[in-house]
Amino acid sequence: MEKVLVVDPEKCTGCRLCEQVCSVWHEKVVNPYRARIKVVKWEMEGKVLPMVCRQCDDAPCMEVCPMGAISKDSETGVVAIDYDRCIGCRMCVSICPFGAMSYDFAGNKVIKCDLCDGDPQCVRFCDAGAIRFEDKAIVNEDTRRKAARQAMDALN
Amino acid sequence: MIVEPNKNKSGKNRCVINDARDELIGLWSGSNPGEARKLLARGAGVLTRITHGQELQRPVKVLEDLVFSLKKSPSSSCFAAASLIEELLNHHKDLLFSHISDKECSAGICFFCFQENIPPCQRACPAGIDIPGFMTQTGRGEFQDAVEIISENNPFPYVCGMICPAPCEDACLRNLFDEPVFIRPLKAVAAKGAANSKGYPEPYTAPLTGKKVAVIGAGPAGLSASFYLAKKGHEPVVFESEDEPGGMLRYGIPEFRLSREILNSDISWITSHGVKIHTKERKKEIGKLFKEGFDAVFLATGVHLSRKIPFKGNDLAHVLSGVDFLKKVNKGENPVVGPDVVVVGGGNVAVDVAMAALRQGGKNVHMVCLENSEEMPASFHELRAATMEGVVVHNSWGPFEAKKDHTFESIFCKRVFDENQRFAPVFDDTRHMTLKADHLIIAAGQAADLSYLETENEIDTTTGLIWVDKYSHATDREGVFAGGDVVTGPNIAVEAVKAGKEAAIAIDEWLQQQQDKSESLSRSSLSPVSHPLLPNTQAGFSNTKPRLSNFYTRHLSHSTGSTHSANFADSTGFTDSSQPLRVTATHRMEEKRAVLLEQNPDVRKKNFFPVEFELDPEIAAAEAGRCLRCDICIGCGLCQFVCSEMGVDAIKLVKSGTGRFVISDFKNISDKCISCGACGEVCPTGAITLVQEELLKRTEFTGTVMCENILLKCSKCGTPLMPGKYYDFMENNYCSKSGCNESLRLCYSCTRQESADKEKRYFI
Repeated sequence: MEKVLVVDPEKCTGCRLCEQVCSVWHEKVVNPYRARIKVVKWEMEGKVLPMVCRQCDDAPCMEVCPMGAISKDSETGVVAIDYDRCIGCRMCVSICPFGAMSYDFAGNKVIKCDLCDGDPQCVRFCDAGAIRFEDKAIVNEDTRRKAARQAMDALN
Repeated sequence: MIVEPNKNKSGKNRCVINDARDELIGLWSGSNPGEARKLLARGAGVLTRITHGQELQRPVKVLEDLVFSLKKSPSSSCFAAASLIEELLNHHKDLLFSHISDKECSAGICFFCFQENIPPCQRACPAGIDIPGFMTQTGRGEFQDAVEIISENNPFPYVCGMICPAPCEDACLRNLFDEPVFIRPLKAVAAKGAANSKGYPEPYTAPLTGKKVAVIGAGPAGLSASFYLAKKGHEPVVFESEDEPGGMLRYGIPEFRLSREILNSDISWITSHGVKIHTKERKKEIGKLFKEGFDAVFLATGVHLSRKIPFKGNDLAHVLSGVDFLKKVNKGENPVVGPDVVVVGGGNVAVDVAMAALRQGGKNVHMVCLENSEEMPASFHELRAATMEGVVVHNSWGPFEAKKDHTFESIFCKRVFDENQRFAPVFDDTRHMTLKADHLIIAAGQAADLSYLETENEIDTTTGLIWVDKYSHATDREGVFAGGDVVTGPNIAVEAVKAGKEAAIAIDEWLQQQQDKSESLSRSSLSPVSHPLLPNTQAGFSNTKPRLSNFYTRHLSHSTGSTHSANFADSTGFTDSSQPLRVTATHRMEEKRAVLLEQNPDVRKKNFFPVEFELDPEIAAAEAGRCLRCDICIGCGLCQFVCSEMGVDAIKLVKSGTGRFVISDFKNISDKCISCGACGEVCPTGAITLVQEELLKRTEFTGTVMCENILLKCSKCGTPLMPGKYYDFMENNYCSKSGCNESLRLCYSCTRQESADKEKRYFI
């Protein structure tokens, strides 16, 4: 069963706790720069949007990697980096259309969300419930309903 | 049995994994560009990582994946590679695991160059000088530090810079595609430069131990031993029977090869460490020395007698001994020979004798030697100097008869060595040659004068030389050590230096043990020590290694440093020998071996001034820049494999006989390199580094910029992105498939912002 991170921007308070726990879990330091999740804010408009890796099926990062170091796990659906093969060329970072990957200058490596081995810390610590870890099928259903609602709004 | 891991490649010991690696590399180098080549390169890279002891997170999975993808490929060499790796996985799993997890190779082949990162030149140097290190410092003009590095393993920097036959140059990896680095005269440049500027390094010795060591003989072995004993804090006293110290360096080597000032300056530096030299002192009995209060004795009396070669008339008055002749010349007794002189022998001593004979009245000097021109032991450059002066060399002729009418008859020698490389000359009775010889000088074979050991029953001298333990240099009598020519027979000076140095370490250890023993004796009862000299004699090489390691470690500590140590060498004035010289790629690739100017042969054959001029410091610096720094690059070849795996194939290395890879072609690299950085990422020693400076990305190999590429900028915020060449490469090879190259022009935070902006419109 494939599970993905689902973001509900309306619930997000912009506290950025997710960034901190992410860096602690992966790098053992509190350093939002080294986090896999990034919260984008529009301060003037008072809007926030946590950006996460989509774990795409046909992931551009996977396609573009010259060493074939990125692969999608058929069971968990995680698009993971094999650091044995990665050469740090950052092509994947450049090509990701969501800007979901980044380069960790302190650790000299590219970083991307790996869903914390099935227990995403951002989900665990988000008190507002803005990030959920859900089955892909449910997400699709939700998205469909949301889109339909928007279409209805537009029609009305 | 002693296993010397680097030497048994062709012998019985083979490592299956290393063999598989070799085969895979063979398959890879024979393949054409394409997917198959990339896969083979990956395979070669993985096996190289295993044989060089590098971490792999999930090695078995990596290998299994590799087999899987190799099998998918239609190429036949891929299939062969797949079955090679499968065989490893199925039949040699234990071996594979011992390599991966324990970093152990039962055959003793793998991991060797990685753990003991000793470059070929240093391995070939009997004294084990850190050659790349001292050359780098010489090239920088840090002469004192260069002498310091040399003197860690050899207390004769200037002397060896003049006379060493330089086995290091034969081992130089530049031999594969060019002439070797001219290492020998650089030592002289360093020593001369140090003497003219800051002086030789300040004598430093360990705190005094109060132990006295008697050293018999002030030749290179004796002086080296006393130098290192003094460094260890002992009190060496050298006894020399001749008028002045130096041994064969003074009495065997003529002034036109080694001037006396040079010899004296090196010796006075040695004595400044607290070495006492008593000259004109006859050899004493060993027992007496112990009674006089010496704690240990080191015998380095050398080989000063000529051995008689059996031929008719070898006892005639005009038949001279080469050693005696040189001794007379060097003492200034001015023996006159000639005008027709024949020298018998083919070694460096014979060449020296021939050249000295020219200066002592010889008009027509002929050398007659048994060996043919390839087998001749004399070094090439000395022989060339002699022939330029007019010495005629007759190869493959053996002495037959010296006659009273001053003619010398020689006999043709068909073969000198038998199948087992043992000396067994075969002569052709039908071919004879007669030369005119007013003097016949025999410079073949020297023997040791061991008369002073006649009363010694314990020391084994049955072979005419002193027998010692190979590693401890100990004779059978406790507390008595020996080294140099008196143990090995006539040999080059630097071998004697090695013997002296190793003996000093062994004597130091032995003295330490004696001290510990007497201390524990006085405290309590003592458990018997099986062998007083070596605590761990069972296993040979690995146990004797630590003894030398303290001489090696200092300049090797850098080898495990981080990959991304930037080039702060010259900008901040940081001048450690581990920081390579900054040299351009053209210089490193195309600079020719320096030429040492010599005196005009017609003039020099009448004087005793040095035959060779010294190297100019500027030329020496250029020469040092030719060094490929094989101490930093271990020649694993990972960079080349990863470059091939990328599909770039910019790095192409030459493979040496011992399986090392050597960089030779910088031009191909700068033409093809796309600055992806893969080579720097995989390089285990930091020989290849990547430096990013504002909008430039540079790939450097030990101080040489291999490739420089300009970086693209983020079209929104201006942050540097990837190099333009790399962008083109990716666009052509990969992005056409995925079709999302518009994000390539932006940095990742700008991409994220754009994507969030888009999403905002829908959801928020």
